[in-house]
Amino acid sequence: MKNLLILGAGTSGTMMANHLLPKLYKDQWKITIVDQYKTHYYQPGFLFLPFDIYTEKQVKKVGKKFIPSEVNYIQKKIEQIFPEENKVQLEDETLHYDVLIIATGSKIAPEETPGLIGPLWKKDIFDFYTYEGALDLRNKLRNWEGGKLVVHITEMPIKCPVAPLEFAFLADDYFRKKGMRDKVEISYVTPLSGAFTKPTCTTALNYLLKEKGIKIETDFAIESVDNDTKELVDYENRKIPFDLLVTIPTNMGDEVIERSGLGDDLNFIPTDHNTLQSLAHENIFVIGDATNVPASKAGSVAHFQAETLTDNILLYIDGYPLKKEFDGHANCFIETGNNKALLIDFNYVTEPVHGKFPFAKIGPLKLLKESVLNHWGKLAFRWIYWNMLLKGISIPFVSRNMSFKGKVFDIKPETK
Amino acid sequence: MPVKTIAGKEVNVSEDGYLEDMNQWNEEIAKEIASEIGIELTPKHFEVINFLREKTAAKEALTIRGVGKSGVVDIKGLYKLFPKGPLKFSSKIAGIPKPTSCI
Amino acid sequence: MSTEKKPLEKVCLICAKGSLEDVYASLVMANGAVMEGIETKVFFTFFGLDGITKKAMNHLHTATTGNPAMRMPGGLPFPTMLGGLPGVESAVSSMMRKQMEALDMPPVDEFLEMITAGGGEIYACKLAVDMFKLKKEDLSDEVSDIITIGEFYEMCDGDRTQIIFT
Repeated sequence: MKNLLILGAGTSGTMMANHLLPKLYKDQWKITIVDQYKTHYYQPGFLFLPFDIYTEKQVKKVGKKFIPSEVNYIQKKIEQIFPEENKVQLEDETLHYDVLIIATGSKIAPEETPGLIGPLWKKDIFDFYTYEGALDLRNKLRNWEGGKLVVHITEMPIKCPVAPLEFAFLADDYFRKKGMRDKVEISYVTPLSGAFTKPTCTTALNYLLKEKGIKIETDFAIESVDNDTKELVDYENRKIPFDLLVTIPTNMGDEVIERSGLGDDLNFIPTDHNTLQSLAHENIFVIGDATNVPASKAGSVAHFQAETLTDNILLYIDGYPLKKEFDGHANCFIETGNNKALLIDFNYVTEPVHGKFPFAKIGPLKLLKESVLNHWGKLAFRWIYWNMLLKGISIPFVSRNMSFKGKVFDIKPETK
Repeated sequence: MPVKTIAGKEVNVSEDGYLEDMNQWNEEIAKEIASEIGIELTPKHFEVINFLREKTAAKEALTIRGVGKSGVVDIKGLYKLFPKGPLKFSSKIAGIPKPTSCI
Repeated sequence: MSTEKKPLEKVCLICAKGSLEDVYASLVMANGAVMEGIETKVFFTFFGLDGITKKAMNHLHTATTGNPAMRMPGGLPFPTMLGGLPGVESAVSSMMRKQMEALDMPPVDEFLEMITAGGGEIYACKLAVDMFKLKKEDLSDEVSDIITIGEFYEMCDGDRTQIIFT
């Protein structure tokens, strides 16, 4: 009997358990999944929590519910991985593995920026990348009377790179509906030189920012937060004042990666971009946010990765060469407020494109253009997530590799 | 039970020409059966034949796969030595019963 | 011996289904033909392609639903309803594989090697390969070529030839 061990029962880990279970012979392989926490969060939903669009119940469920019963589910803390000995130390037991899948994800590390966790933390400084953070922010926003709202990204890479921008759009919409938009000044502060990592998209998004009266501050590399003057300070001593700071702290891989000596300086694991095998150990595979691949850290990416990784694990255990297949394909809805959303589709090398999705020329979803249908697409995704994605059911007609049919490849954004 | 004289020795054979008693076998008999089939025996052939006889004496089932894994010869080699009947012809020449395995 | 015997000279097999027993049926027939010195060609199409796809061929399962020939251990008919229950399919697959192992039936990839080692030829159907978005490198190295069904029929010419659809 051989052991396939999955660390992390988040989006990626859960999907892998569901994908692999029907493929591996149960008398040959035992699948075990380890996660410290009982709750599985629908992380994309954290964006909607602060604005009372989603309730707590809609974003959290018991993680075990999504793990097939034939999979050995262990709810324990992972102490350390010993890749040379093919074993993993948990809080009170040691597991041996033949194949290891690391899906430990990423999380925020506010302690990396001086002044973030200070007197103002959770008072005037919030994050929405954690469940608790999103709820605290919701309570704050419910009673906030206005002022300077700063939405801020500390450094790249971050989980779901469009979420901060969406937050700014939704905030605009939220305060408009509350009839207090005139009392709120929204700024968007980013270390990048534009609104997004991909230039095509940036142009389209910059246009929207302008339309919604959101000020953008680019190339801002934060050094610290001054709790006394309530200012962000960067390395060139540029200062941005705030009354309410919503920050995306540095994102890092899990500490267990650091303890095990497997990661880079942000605890992300060096991983082959196309096969998802770890560069250092051939029987270790990495998926989702835990990798260092230059794709978005997002559930859609994990979904496309899971399909490639499932094939590669089967090839690996039978001794065949792996497929260099994953192309960094990501697609995501960008919530732009006012019940509209953009849809973008891109990969490692291709800029986000125009056109229709998923069927060339038919759509129904429009790429890189605001539409109401895209907004409903985004909200429907929550159902797809809980009911299809986690269970490893492919989304019909959406391929793991990017399709180039019916999409327009120019750099100029469409303006209305 | 037909009796046939092969290489000057009287042996009991089945209707298909397989030896009924493997102890009546000798190398001369092997050579004559082989030439009837159209195979000229080399030392490599005898390695395979001896392996088959050992296995049969030990009452182990013979399969092509088993021969391939024996280290004596791989499956491709076996087909080269005994074209168009790797197990059938080799068994006949080795003086052991007709193989019953389908693999 | 009044009638002249006309032994088979060529056997062409078509495997269009991907369950464990369907693929093995084709492989056993093909290998049997090769061992008898018969020219052998196997054409894998539609779900049968799983039998020659690297990532799938050693992970095939038994169809437990809609399989009227299924038997419980001991020979009783296998209620189709039972096949839909969780765990049943994997138990049946593992039982089948144990029985096959006892008969020295190799895993699919090795079986394919045995067939080609004996001069048998393995082909993949172009239409199905395109349909499942596969490439030559996704298929077993034992596959000689990806061909159309027309090309396969051309190979099936000759007097003493049989086409067998498993």
